[in-house]
Amino acid sequence: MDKRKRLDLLVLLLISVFVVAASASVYNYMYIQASPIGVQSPYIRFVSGNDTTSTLGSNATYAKITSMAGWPNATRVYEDALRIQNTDTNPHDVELMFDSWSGQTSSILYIYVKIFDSVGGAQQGSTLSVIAQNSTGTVTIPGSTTYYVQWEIRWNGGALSSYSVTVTLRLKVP
Amino acid sequence: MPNLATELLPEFFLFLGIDFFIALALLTCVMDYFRRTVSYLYEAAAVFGYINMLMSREFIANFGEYMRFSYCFLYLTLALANVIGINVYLMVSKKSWGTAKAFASCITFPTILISAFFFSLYGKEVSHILTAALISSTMALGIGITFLVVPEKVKEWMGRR
Amino acid sequence: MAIRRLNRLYLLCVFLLTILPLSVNGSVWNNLLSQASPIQCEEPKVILQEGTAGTSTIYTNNTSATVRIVTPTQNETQDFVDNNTSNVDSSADKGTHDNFSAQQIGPDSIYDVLKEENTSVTFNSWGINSSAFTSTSTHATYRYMGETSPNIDNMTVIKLHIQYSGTGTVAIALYTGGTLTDPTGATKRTEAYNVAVSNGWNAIDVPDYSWPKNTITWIGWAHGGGGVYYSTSSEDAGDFQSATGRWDQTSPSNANESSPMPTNPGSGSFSDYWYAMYVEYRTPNYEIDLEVQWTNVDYDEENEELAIYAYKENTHSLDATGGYMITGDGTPNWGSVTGTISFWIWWDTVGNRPWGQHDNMEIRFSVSQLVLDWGAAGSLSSNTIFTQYKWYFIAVVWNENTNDLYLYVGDQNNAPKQDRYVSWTSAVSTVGVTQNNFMASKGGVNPTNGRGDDLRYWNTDRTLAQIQGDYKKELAGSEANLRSYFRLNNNFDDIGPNNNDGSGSGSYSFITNVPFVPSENIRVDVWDGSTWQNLFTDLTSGWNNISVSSYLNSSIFTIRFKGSIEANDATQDAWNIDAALLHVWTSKGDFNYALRITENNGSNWKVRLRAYDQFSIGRLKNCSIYIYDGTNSTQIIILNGSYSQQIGPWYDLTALNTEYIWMHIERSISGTSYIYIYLEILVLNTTIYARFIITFVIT
Repeated sequence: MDKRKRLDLLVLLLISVFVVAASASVYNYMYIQASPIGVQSPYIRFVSGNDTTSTLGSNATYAKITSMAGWPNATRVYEDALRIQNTDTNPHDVELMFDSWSGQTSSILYIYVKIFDSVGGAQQGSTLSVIAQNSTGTVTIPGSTTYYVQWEIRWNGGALSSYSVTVTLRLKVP
Repeated sequence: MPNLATELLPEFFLFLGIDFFIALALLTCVMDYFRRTVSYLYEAAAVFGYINMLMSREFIANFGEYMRFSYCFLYLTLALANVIGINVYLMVSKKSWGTAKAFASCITFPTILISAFFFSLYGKEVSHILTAALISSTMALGIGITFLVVPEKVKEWMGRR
Repeated sequence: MAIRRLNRLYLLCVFLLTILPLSVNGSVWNNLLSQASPIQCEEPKVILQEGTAGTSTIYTNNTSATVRIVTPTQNETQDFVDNNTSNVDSSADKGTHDNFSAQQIGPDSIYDVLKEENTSVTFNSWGINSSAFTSTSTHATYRYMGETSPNIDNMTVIKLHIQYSGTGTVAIALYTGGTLTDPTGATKRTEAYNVAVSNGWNAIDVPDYSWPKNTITWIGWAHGGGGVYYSTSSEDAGDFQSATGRWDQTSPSNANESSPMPTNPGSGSFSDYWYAMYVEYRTPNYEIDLEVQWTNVDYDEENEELAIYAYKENTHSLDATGGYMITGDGTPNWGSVTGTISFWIWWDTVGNRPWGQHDNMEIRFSVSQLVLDWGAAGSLSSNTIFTQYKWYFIAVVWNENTNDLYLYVGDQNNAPKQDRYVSWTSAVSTVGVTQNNFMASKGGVNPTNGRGDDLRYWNTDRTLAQIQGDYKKELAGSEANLRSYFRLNNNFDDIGPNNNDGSGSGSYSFITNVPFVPSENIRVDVWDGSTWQNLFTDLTSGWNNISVSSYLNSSIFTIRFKGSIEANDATQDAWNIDAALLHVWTSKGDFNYALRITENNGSNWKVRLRAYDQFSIGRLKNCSIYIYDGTNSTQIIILNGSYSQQIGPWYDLTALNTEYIWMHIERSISGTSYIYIYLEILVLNTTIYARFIITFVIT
């Protein structure tokens, strides 16, 4: 085989490796995405808490709390603002993360979101601070168990009653 | 008995076609009977197939399954046709009758068999007759390509015969 | 050509490497969104408002507050002790008051000195009292056995005992003085002669002799007829532990047991014989048990304390680190014809000069030995090699008339003994003064790096016995011939009659490490109606305070001062009490309407208080915080400095109603306490509540 042929072969081999690997990965991804998970109901879902008025989306994978408020220079605590339910018999990990917020955010002293295993029970994971834009860390919800999301809201002294903020959190379910 | 059958996506055939084109590119590069351009053409075809795969992923929600199956299977068919065509070309080429025979047994026949097997897996409810018919068409297509590409070689071969 | 191909290959690889991996998608997960919209800011529906008790500060939006409460002190009295004549335990007092009225005023440095009294005697022996000897001896000469007397105060010799074989006549005497290797310098102190003795132990009465401690003592005897039991083994030496044995006086060759013993032992030599004989002496037992009493005490106050101001001897010493003391203004002249200068000293670095007023009247070091330049350079060098980090007692005694110069050295564990004697012909009464310094010499020369205490100057040559009698305790300052006396208890005062108060120079301080402390503790007990209960195991210098609320149940209150060693206590101790009083007071109050909680929205709520932090609440004997609305709901309780209840029960707050925070406070000592409280306001039938912060500052 002459030199030119060898070079050609090398080039072709290289291209082949890339193409085949890439194609396999894409196919694998598509396989996962196209698997019939989306057909099943989600095993982690939101449930309305007793302390607030919430609107839940289809399959309860989206929740909007519309009734929370705070007083300036005082902390308002909603121990049962929202609940996270694991409908599976197996435990699953979740992580509640900051996504975005808007409104008169500069007048908020703090908003803390905590996950508890019961109202007034033991806190699970870390405290999510909306100001710090962090997360609760991974929280494992046992099978067939509901956890409670607590909100603590404090407006700065001098905040007006016309002020409001909107806070969006993401519940990540790996 | 565990359930061994897995769901096949239509893109599997695209993937199979890419593999066949890549194999063809490498083989035609190694063999002396073909010009350099042929290998790169087949390589380009493999890349084209990959691009098709990407498009399929992006539009997976939009394309229906039949649509995806159609262009994926068409791509596989093209690849098979080219395998058969290469084999026929080798047959009609004066110096490569032995190579052709080897090529037929090692490349052409196994690729057709693999393709038929996965097609039968994918289309569980499709009849075997349809499978045979599709394979036959492929073969005819492959032979036809050869006549189209190198008619002189074919005539020469038939004349000798 | 090849290069072009390579270039193409390179570009192709780059293209593939960048594009293809990017097109591959790796991880997948699900996102559930939760939105709170809107989170409104509302006007508070419950607010805090000022109260009328204490001082309240309401902060922005009326959702937090600070309440300041000042608790008054009422009925505060300081009641000094009334009498020292009580006898609640029906047992007589022991010991004496020097000036009881001094306890009824002060503290003013005028003390009542409480002194132990001798309540009984104990009898002891010193010598050889073994009955196991089997050999007896007869001899014609005077013989003596000697040793240092016990380290016990107030010994009185009453009898001399001898174990005899057969019958005969004995002369026996007690001598003190001389050295353990030469009794010829000893002097007879008491004796009996021409005493008939018989077989066995014979107790021979002698006139009582006040026998000093730590003094070289000899028993001398002569006998006729019969023999005296003896042993030749030093293991049988009993209290005659110097293992010198018997001193045999050479002449006269025939001792006369029917005549008085020699005034001083004559020359002779030692032999290894130990004879069965001993001194019988008695010692006192000093005790103190003095009642003092209060009558007509106010026993109804919340806080009742017994406070006793005591003065304990020897609290400090002078720590010189390059500094020194100047006696008076530096001119006091301690060069007298006779005199004694003594002090305690500790060397951090052995060397330099502990005391001096002149080139020819100073104490200095030569390597590790003390050298006295007394009237002339190098008058005396010590035998003792001094070491660092140890308290030594040094006394220099001189007498120009008798040409005596002594150096006595002791330490914390050993009484001073004669370290060196020289026959001395110089004079210090004529040298004059450059500057009288302690811990340096003649104007700050060679300051000593160490500590000094209890510097004394007497204008007489004291005996060793006298020095040993008081070297380890503080003096009153009025003793005979004591001219200057520096206790160095945190000052340079001269409490002797010369009154040459000193001053410090250079780097120095007063520290609490001292060479001696009073040997016995002074306890204080309280009478509870039937028995004595201990309050203090030992009084310290300054105020000694203790709560006596549990004992002060009537207008009569009795305590006693009692020594800690009340048996076989041969040391007579004394303690100084400057003042004894009862301090009673009440500090409490009710603070109703300290803060207002107002509902202004027309809704019903539940409220409660929760204490979440605090500071210095140990002084709160009883602090109760209530929510009042016609009736009290007890929310927070602090008893005796700790929480009894930290979270209150939920209490109804009805629409448009105002409730109040009430407080009841009893405190002990003065100070400021902080209680940090959440007021929690609960929405009915939910777990939604607001938290207001209220800080209570209680002084």
